[in-house]
Amino acid sequence: MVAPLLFYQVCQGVQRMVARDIMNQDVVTVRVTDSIRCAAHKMLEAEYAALPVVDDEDQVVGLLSETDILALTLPEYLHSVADLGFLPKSLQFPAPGARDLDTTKVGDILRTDILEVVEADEPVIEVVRLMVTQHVRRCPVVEKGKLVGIIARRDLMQIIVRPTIEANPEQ
Amino acid sequence: MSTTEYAYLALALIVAAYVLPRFRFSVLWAIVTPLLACCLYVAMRVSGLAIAQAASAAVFLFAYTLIALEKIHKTKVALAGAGAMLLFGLVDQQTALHGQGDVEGTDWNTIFLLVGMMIIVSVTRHTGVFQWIAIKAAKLAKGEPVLIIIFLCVVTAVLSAALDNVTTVLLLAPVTILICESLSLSPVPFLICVVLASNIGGTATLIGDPPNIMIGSSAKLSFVDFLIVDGPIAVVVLAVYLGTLWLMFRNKLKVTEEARRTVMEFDETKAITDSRLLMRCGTVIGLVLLGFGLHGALHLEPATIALCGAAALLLIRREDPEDTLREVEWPTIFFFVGLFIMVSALVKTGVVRMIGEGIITATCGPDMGAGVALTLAQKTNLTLGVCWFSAIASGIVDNIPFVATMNAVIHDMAVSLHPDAAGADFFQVAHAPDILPLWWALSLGACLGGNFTLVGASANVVVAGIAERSKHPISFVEFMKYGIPITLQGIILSSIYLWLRFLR
Repeated sequence: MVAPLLFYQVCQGVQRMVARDIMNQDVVTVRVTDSIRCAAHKMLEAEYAALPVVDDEDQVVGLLSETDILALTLPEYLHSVADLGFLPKSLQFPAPGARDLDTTKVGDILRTDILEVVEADEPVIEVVRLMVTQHVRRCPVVEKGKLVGIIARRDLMQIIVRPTIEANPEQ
Repeated sequence: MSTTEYAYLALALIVAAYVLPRFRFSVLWAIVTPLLACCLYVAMRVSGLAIAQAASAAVFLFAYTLIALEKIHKTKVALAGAGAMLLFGLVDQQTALHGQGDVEGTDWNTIFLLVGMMIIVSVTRHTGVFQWIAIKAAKLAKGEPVLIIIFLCVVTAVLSAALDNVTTVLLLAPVTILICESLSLSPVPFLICVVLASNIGGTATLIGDPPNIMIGSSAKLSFVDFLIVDGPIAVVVLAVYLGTLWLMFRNKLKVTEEARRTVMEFDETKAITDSRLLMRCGTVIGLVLLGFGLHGALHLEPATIALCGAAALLLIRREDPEDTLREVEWPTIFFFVGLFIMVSALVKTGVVRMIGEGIITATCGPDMGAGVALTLAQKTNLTLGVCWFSAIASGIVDNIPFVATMNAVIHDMAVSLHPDAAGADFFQVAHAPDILPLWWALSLGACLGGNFTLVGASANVVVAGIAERSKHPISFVEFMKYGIPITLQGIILSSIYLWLRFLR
């Protein structure tokens, strides 16, 4: 089945808008040199699913997600195993010391190959495309590589979906 | 030698020199390139090589070196090399893809056999059956480390014989590491032993290891031929290997009673993700193996049987074929295609004939004219020479390009030693009593030789990668501590076997 373009009309309405118009300028960022403890703390406090990572010159180099943090509980060689239900409950993985929370840096675990960003003057529909086809949850907005804001899926829901529902009340 | 040919050669060198070193222009290369061209010209005049021979040999050697250095992905190198051969007219596309006269061209039987088996395996791997087998083996060993190693090696060898080595170790390694973690032992020796067993097991059958697929297709040897010639020696090598492991680890690995209990707590029944699919995969694999066993009698190529099996599994599985086909190792497939095209150029320009003559002269003395029957001593030298040379070469570089070249060399030697039969059925020539042992020597040497070093076989590289990610890296030297003695053991046994079976 081809999904109908239920929200297309409003898309037309926001068609003239660009990323800059809808982005959130108040961004919580982490630095490449931040420790995992610091990054996880920021993520827990800010309640965002992912935080943009910047280097010393405020250039966006990646997006640190909850998935990246959770991945630190699962040894990488087990990623290819189809089902881990067989593991005995008594099995203990060799645990690193608490110190490693501070010595491991964001840069050590950050995947820089899958970063998707939009330029501030790109149309909103491009942001929608990234969210839909590239499974991006939060999309950093940049100008010349420098972070200027961020757009979350929820922001798009508010801008595109809510007005449509409210403009077309249930009959 | 015409001016055009010189222009082509110069162009080839310039392209190779500029394009390949990471696509960066540098002054150094601008100096090196003309120098290379000059050296090549001098070498050509001295050795009496024709321009096309020199050019094809240069492209091939350059590609071979890059593959061995592993700085650029081998598939890119092979395809670029193939492109260069075609572009400079060293072989035409028709010959490279379909063969002509003595030139075999791209071996589509090998390609489709690989693709077919990859599809079958990529469906099966999601059923969790590999994990089930590994856990079952560890539990059968009652958590006793040395028995775990031996049982894991046995299941690895058997699975590698029926499926491909890389998938087998890729799926068994994580569970092996988990078992080691629960025993508080380093997984490094376990992983090395498993991968050695996988290369030994793969030797036993036509489909066990890519070199065997290529040899079988080139030499027209059937699945049953492999089973009755390579099979027994693989079993002997495996048995001696397991005995060695027993002696090596019997008193070394000690674990606590509690750790052993943890191993027994693994629940293998939960490893199976889809038992319906598993039953179907099992049926298809069983039928495919049966088909391989009968393919000679049925007059079907192995690739036909593998493709039918793959098609059956794709039909059975309701999911989109796109997901399954994505898991086929396309880079490996294109690596083969690139190599076949490069080798066809070497055959076409006559370089392969020169290598063949060189090998015959080196092992049988200088007076070997065409059509002269080999004496027993010459046959022995030639066969054992091929076996040991293959083993050592396969340890140093990937054994696939080596076998691709050697297949063509033996093919050519067969024709030049039996000129009277040339033009007749190649099957007869390839199976002549002085040629047949060479294929087996190549197969045993190339498959077992992969155990020499960490880079000798694809399975070794894959396991090294997994070990690295589990924070228990396998060093090059550590691998060789096991690899060299075990390989020597295998090759010595193989030499004795070849002598007993073919050279008395």
